[in-house]
Amino acid sequence: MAEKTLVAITAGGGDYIMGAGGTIAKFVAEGYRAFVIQAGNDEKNSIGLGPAETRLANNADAEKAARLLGVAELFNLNNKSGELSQLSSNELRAQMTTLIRHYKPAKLFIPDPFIHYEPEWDQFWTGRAAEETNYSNAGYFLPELAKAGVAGHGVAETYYYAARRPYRPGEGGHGSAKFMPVDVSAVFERKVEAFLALRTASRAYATHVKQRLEAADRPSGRLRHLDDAAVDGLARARLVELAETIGRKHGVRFGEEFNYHGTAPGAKQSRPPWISERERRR
Amino acid sequence: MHIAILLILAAVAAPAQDSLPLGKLPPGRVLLVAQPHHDDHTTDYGMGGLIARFVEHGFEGYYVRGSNDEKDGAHGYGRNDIINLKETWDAIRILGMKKVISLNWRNDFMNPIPLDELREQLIFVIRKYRPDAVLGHNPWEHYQKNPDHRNVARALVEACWLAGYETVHPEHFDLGLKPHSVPHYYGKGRLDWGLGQISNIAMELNESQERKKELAIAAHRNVYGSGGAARALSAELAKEGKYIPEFERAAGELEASDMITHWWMNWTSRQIGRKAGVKYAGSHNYTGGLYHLPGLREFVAQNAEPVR
Repeated sequence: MAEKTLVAITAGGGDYIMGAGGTIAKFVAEGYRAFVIQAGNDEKNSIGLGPAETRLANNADAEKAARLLGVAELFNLNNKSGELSQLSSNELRAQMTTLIRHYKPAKLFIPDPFIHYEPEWDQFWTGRAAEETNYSNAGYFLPELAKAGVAGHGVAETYYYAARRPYRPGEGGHGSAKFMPVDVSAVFERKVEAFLALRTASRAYATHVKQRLEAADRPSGRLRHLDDAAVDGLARARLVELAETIGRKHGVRFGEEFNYHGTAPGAKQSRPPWISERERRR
Repeated sequence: MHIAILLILAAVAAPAQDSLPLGKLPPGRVLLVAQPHHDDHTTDYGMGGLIARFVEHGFEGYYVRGSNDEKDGAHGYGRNDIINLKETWDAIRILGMKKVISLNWRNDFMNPIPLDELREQLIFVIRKYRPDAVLGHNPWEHYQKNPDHRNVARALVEACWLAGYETVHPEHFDLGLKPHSVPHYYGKGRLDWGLGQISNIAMELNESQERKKELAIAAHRNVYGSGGAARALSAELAKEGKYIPEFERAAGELEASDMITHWWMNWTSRQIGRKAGVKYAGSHNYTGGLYHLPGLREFVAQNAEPVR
């Protein structure tokens, strides 16, 4: 296993940055090599562009954002965004599994498929297939990969993230999983810088917000002219509010939070209680 | 799950609830257990003890294996399939069940299969055997990484409901079958990956039922029998100047491995039993009876009469 390697799986180019960008930046600062697997081609998230132009623009933005965050490589699987439910989940899982076996990460960041009321179902389908890679990375799966020299790889730690909102009470942290807050205050500006590189998506978001405010008879002067400053200002405000809301829950300024499942390197591994209750000293 | 993994688990997930009410066996005579894999009826968060209890109280038990189990084991797909099927029979005989019905869907690749087809198979089986109680996975469990568990559970709860409709798959009736809806469902959820399920009852097990549960899971030696794991554990303990007395009486490493599996089951049953104030129990998410949802409780209390 590459001990200092992490992989983030994301539906679109910005989801992992919103949900886990600060934490990934922290690990990069600690010496981790970070790789991103993007499930969708981002062909629909724009204003005034056709699907091909949208895809091209968003993909270029995502590459830049990943670089700014410190990601070594972003690999786009190029499935059609907004239509992942039509894709065989076995196929999506196999795509992800192949790359995880290639990168051999110690840590895996995935969208949480079990958070409720997420209207963008690409999050769900991406998260579901990503979660299954934990199961399907054993050597008995996809033996054709092993034949090609790509052996199975178990990931020690999985971080489930909610891309666009804080975890709600009752979500995450059950059983042997831990609900894990991360203080990202020190790297927050790097997260913002990366997110602001997603100009095409941010402009679309700002346009939609402006339209909704106007429809509600509550137009904002800050969005009257959607120039770069207005778009960036809204994108930053979105990230700040999300990080502060999570931070307040955990007593830090800017936070991210995860449903964490796994065993951290160096963690003490105790024997199961059904063994320890029987062991005796000689 | 392989035993080597069990030995290095840092934390063992126990049911989250502090206490659980004890449930009673429903009336009836037929039990159907439908799970995707050869060992799902017997695992720690499973229901081997409850199956034994049903059978000891006179139920006929039938086991539906949804997948072909080709990936569980180290013998290659074809051999894994046949070995795991054989061991499924071994396990259900220990539990006192009558038959294994294997649907043979491809193991761990059940996400994109047509659920209506799987559901139809289960409706057919339900109409044929007419179970009073069905045991299966909880389709609402969270952080379930295995697609087979989710999909068989979802198809199963739909089948339990739709098998009672005379408008659903009427072609079955030409074969002499009749509609049959299932009144009692006991769900299970894997607890060591996260939330799993929230159990709402504990079912007490006696010594005999607990022992059958332990023996039934150990019958799946293709995946749970690991002499190497027992040997590694002994070596690890020896470095600390420790040993396990029972191992010294074991006939071999495989028997020692079986012991570990038995202890794992026994510990789990004791933990759940403690929450219910009994020695041994299993925990389940139960739905069923006449009024598990509001709307019928008052009517039944006022209007229903026992059969004389």
